[in-house]
Amino acid sequence: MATSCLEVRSVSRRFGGLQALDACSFEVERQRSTCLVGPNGAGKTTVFNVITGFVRPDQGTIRYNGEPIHGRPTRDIVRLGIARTFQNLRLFAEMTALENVMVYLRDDDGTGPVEAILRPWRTGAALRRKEEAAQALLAEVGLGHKSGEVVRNLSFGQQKLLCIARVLATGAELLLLDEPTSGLSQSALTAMVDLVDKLRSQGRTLLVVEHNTRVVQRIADEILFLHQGRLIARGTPAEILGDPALAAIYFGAAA
Amino acid sequence: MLFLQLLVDGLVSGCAIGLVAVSFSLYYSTTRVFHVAHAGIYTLGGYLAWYGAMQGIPFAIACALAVAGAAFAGAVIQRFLYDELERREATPLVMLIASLGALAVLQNGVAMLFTPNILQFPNPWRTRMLDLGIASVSYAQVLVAASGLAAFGALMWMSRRTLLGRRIRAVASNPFLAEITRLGPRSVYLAVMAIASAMAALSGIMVGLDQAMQPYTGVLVLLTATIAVIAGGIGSLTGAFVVAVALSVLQNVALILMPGRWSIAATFALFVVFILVKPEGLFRKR
Amino acid sequence: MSFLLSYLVLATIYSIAALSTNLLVGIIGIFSVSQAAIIGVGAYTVALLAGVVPFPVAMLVAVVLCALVNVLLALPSLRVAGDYFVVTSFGCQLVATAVFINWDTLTGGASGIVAIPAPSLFGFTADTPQTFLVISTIALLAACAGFWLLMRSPFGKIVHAIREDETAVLAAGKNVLRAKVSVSAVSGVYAGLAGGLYATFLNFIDPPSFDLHVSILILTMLVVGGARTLAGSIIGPFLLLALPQLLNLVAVPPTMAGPLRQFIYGALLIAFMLFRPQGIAGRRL
Ligand SMILES: Nc1ncnc2c1ncn2[C@@H]1O[C@H](COP(=O)(O)OP(=O)(O)OP(=O)(O)O)[C@@H](O)[C@H]1O
Ligand SMILES: [Mg+2]
Repeated sequence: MATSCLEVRSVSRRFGGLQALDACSFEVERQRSTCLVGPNGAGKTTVFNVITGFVRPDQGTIRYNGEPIHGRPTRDIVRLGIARTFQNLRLFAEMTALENVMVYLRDDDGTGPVEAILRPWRTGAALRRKEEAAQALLAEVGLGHKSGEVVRNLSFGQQKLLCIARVLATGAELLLLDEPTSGLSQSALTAMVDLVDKLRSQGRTLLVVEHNTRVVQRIADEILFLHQGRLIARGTPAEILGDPALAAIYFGAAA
Repeated sequence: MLFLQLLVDGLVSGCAIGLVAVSFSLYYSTTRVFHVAHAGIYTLGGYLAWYGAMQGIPFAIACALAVAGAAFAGAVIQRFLYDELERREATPLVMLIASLGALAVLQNGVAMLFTPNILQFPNPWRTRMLDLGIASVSYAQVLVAASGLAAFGALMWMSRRTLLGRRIRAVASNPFLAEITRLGPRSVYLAVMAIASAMAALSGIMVGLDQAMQPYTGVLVLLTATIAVIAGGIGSLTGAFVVAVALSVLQNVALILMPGRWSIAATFALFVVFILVKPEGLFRKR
Repeated sequence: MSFLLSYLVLATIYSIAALSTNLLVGIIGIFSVSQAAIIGVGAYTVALLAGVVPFPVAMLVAVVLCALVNVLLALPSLRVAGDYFVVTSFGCQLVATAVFINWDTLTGGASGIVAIPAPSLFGFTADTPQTFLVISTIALLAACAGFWLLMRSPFGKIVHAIREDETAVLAAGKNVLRAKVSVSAVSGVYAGLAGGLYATFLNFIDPPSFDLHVSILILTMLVVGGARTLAGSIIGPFLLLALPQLLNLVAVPPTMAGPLRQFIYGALLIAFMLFRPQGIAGRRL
C-alpha cells in the first residue's frame, strides 16, 4: 500500500481576473509517478509554482510528509526534498554543463564567501568534490561527455537532460518535471523517456506535466486531469486516457 | 510670517521641480529607460537661455530657443543612444551606464562651453519684488510658478485629449503590441523625449532665473524629482507633480528647524524609509 | 622618478576601488554611482584614527565600517525591485558628499583633513612613494587573490549563476539574498581598503576626492577595462589615470581641465556601452 508524501488541499490562486487554480486537492504517492495533464493554460505550471513556493496560494494547505509548506520560502521547500524543473529550462546559459549542476548540488560545502577566501585549500577540495559529484550526475543522464561544454552550445535535447541532472543534484525525493519531453525530436524524446522511466524504476517520486499521451501511458502510475484550474478527474492511465469526455476537453481546448 | 514666506517659496520652487518630475515620469513610464541624463538636459536649457539673454536677445525668445535646443538635444540622445542601444539588445544596466555617460557629457560640455562657475541671468527685472500681503515674491518666482503650472496643465491636456497623448499611453501600456500594430513606438519615444526635454529645460531656465546656475546642480534636482516620481507612484503624472511640490515645501519649511545643507539628507532618509514601507507609491494606478 | 611612482601608487589604489565596483556592478549586476562615497567613508575613518590607534587597527575599523555601510546601502536595491536602486545610489553619493562637507567638526568641512600620518607597520613607516608602492602593491595583490579565490569557489559559481538566472538559483534552494549581501560586504571591504590607502598616501583628503565625479571615474575605469573579470579592473585604472598626463600635453586652461577630463569619461562610457560593452578585457554587462 503506497503512502502519500505530498498532500494538496483545496488550493486556490487568482491572477487578476483569472482563477488559475480553483480548490485543487490531490495527493502524490511515494515512489510512484504521477502525471499532471490538461490543456494549455489549465494551471499545471501554477501547481508547480504553488508547491515550490514561487507563488503563494490564496487559500488551501500543502503538506509534505505531514509538514505544512505553503507560504514557506522556496529554499526551505527544496531542503525538505521537493525540486522542480522549468518549462522554459532556465539554464545558466553562459556556464558549462558541469557548473550548472554544481550550483544545484545540495551540500553547502564551500558556499561561504569568507571560507572561500580564508581557507582556499579546503575550498579547493570542496570544489573538486563537487565537480566529481556533478560529473557523476551528468553521466547518469547521459551527458558525461559534455561536462565542459557551455550550455548555449548544447542541443535542445541535451539542455533538457541537463535540467534533469540539475534537479537530481538537489537530492530531492520528490521531483516535479514540467514538460520534460516537449519540443524534443524523436531520438531525444526516446532518451528522455528512458531517463524518466529509469528514475521511476529507481523508486523516485515523480510529478510530471506531460502532453504526449504515449509518453503518459508509458511513465504514469496515476494521472491527474486539470482543466481551468480545477482537478476534474484522476485515475489510472487506462481510465483517464480511455475517457472520451476528457479527450474532448483535451483536444477541443487544444485545437 | 517667516513660515508663510518659506511656504510660498517652497510652493514656487516645487513647481519647477515638479516639472522635472513630471517630464521624467512621462519618459520613464513610456520607455522604461531610467534617463539620468535628464539632469543634463535641465542644465543645458538654463545655460542656452542664459547665453541668449547675454547676447541681448529678448528673454522670451531666448527661452523659446533654449527649450527648442534642449528638445533637439534630447531627441539626439534618443535617436543615437537609446534607440541604438535597444537595437543592440543592451541590458538595462548598460542603458543606465550610457545614460550616466550622457549626463557627464552634457554637464561638462556646458561647463566647457560656458563656464564651470556660478552664473546669473543679466535681466534686471528678475529680482523686482511683488508684495502679496502674506509673503512677497520676485518677478522671477512668479514666472517659475506660472510656467510650471502652465506646462503641467498643457501636458495633462496633451496626454488626455490629443491623438499623440493616446498613442503615448498605448505604447506605454504595451510596447510589444504597439510594435506589431505599427503604432510606431520609436517615433512615439522620440516625441516623448522631445516633450520631456523641453519641460526639463523650461524648469532649468526658470530656476536659473530665480536663483543662479551651476553645471552640476541638476543632479540634486533630479534626485528630488525621481524621489517624487517613485513616491507619487510610477505612471502617475499628477502624483509626481504633487509629491514634488510637497517635498519642496517640506524642504523649505524645514529651514526653520535645520540648516538647508541638511535638507537633501533629510529628504533622502525619508525616501529610504518610504520605499521600504510602501514601495508601490502613493498614487499608483492599478 | 617620483612622478611615475605616484602614478603607480594611485593606479594600484584605484584598481582596488575598481575591484570593489566590479563586485557590485559586474558581479551582482546592480548600478552604482556611490562607490566614491564608500571609499570616502574608509578614507575619513582612517584619517581620523591614524594618529590615535596603530595603522592596521585604523584600517580594520575602516574596512568593517565600509562593509557595513555598503551592505546597508545595497539592501534596498537587493530587496526592492524596479529602478529604485538608481535613486538610492545617487542619493547615497550626494548625501555622503553633503555629510563630508557639512559635518565639519568631524571631517574638517570643505578644507578637509591634512597631515594624515603615513602608514607604519611593524616599526616600518611608508613615508616615501617607493615604500608606499610596496604596501599598495601588496594590498592590490591580496585584493586580486581574494577576488580570484571568491570567483572560482562554489560560492562564486552561485553568484555567477544568480547573474544569469536568479529564479533558477532560488529553485536550487540557495539563499540568493545572502549571496548578494555577502558580495556587497566584500565590495565594501575593498572600498575601505582603497580609501584608507588613499588617505594615508596623499596625507590629505577633502570632499571633492570622493564626490560623484570620482564615482563616475571609477565606473569608467571599470567599463573601459571590462567588467566581470579581474584583468579589467586593473587595466582600466592604469589606462585612465594616464589620461590627465596626456591632457597636460595639450594646452588647456586650468579651470577647464576638470570638466574636460570628466567630459572624456562620459564620452568613454557612451562609446564603450555602444560599441564594446565588455570593455577591453571583460565580459558582457
Ligand atoms: N504569475 C502570473 N501572473 C498572471 N497570470 C499568470 C501567472 N502565472 C500563470 N498565469 C496564468 O494562469 C493560467 C495558467 O497558467 P499555467 O502556466 O499554470 O498553465 P499551464 O497549464 O502550465 O499551461 P501550458 O500547458 O501552456 O504550460 C494562464 O492563463 C496564465 O496566463
Ligand atoms: Mg505550463
